[in-house]
Amino acid sequence: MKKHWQKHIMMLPSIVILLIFSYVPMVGLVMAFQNYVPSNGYFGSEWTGLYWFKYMFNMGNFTSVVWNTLFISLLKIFTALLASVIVALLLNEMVSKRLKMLIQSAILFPYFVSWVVLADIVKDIVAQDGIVNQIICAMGGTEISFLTDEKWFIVLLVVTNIWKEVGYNAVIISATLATIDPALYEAADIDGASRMQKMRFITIPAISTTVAMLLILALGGVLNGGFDQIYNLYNTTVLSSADIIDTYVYRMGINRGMYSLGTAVGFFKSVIGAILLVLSYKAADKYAGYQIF
Amino acid sequence: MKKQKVSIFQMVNTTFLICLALVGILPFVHMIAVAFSGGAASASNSVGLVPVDFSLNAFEEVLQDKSFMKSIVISVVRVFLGTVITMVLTILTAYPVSLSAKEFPGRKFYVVFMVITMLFSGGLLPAYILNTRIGLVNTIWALVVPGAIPIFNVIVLLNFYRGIPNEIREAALIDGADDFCCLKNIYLPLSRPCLTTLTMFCVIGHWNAWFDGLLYMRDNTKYPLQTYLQVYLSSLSDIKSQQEVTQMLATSDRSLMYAYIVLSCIPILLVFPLLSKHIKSGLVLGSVKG
Repeated sequence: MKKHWQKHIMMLPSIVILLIFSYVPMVGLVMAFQNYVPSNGYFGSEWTGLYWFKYMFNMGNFTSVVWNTLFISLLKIFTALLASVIVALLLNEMVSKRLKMLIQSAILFPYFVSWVVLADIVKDIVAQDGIVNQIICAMGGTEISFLTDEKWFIVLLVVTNIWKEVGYNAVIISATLATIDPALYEAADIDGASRMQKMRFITIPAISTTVAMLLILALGGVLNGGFDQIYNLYNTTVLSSADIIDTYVYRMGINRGMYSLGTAVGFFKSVIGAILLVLSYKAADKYAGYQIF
Repeated sequence: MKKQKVSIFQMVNTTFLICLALVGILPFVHMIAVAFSGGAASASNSVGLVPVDFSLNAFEEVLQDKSFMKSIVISVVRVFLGTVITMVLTILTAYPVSLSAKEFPGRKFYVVFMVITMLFSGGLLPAYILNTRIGLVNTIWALVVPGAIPIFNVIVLLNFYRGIPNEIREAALIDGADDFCCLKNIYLPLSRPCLTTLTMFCVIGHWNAWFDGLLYMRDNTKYPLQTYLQVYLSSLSDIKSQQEVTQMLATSDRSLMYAYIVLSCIPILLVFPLLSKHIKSGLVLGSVKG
């Protein structure tokens, strides 16, 4: 036993922090079953049973918020992953290593810039008189209200998400590509395989595990939907199509002080989210041999 | 014949990728161009990728904004404090859990304890109420302590630790080294590439964080940089729609906004070359096995 006391000491600070900042809020979920009033606290607030959950499901916009979250998330996950695979495959075909590094860095850059900054740039360039609409008009099109049209706003979310995320996933996929044995390609060359055949029979099978893993893990977080991006880009005119669970909880809880309703919605998200995460980790382990610990 | 076909593909491919990279970078070029442009040109939105009527007015105005300077100081403190705390905790935590259950009998409990926090969370509001109740409001601790131990980083690092041959540790144990000694003298020096990447991710994460500042800093002189930008720049566009073009003579709001943003991006530009070089060796190896 004495052998291990140092290891327990090493774990202690993290365990204390997690206990306070992760486990105590889980207990705080009791708010969802109360009519929580900050001045009364958890113990003084009146118990309401499942009132807020019934309220939530009877409320018209809750279904649309959940639907928006799923729709936006799935759209973003699939488009970003597809774009990353394509970019990684094309980068892999490049001969000049220097140019490849340069392009890869350029594509990676937006990943490290915050959504606050990116959203300000985006809002400016897609504004009514912004540079994107100037280009569209110059090419003979008509102005598009990206920020206020419900459909175009979703397009904007998808495109800007690809812009920010594509580089990072492409790097991960490229790293897998780098592990492919060059002898396979040489053998294929001798057999007279075309570029497409090599891609179809060597490259794509080699990255499929990594891509599957990225997809599965992303699907586990499908209820997130990207708070930072949407909060910084949206406005009241696109609320009906762009309001997601997280933005809804923020507006209800923090802005309007409806703590119990916000917590009930958050509770719903946490439970479904946990189930999805467990399933995704199981699937990632089964299909990609990925274990979190 | 075949050779030529390949080179046509190469040309098309390279051109396409260069275009793609440019599309990704051009918004940032536009940002810099507008920031350095004269007020009239940027207000009328006629600046493309090169500054028109080159001027430093916007930057001069930004540098006179005392609250902005203060928010930079707060962000720097936050980055430093947050990175130190998180990295120390990550290094300490990853070591015991990287060992096998035989070498560390308590491992299973700790792993389950951490996995639960990855799967389930109380969500925004209970955390908000807790952090306000325990007096974190308006203190720097609200920004660095609640998220001090990102489990994902622990996983990345522990996978890296596992790549280090166990024989080295066993040899050291036989020579009388204890766990702290092993961690300090074997694991730390050998995991430098991974630690570098994690540290840089941590720095950028803290530099970019804005939401916690918005939640917990009720005193707006205590905003970190990104929160300041978030709140200030959105108010800038509000003012513009209300009183229109009145104070746009020397500097337009657009130049001003972009000048703020350009300055906020400088630290990222500084660490980025290092990061894009290390990202493969450090993080990817840790997170993707096999």
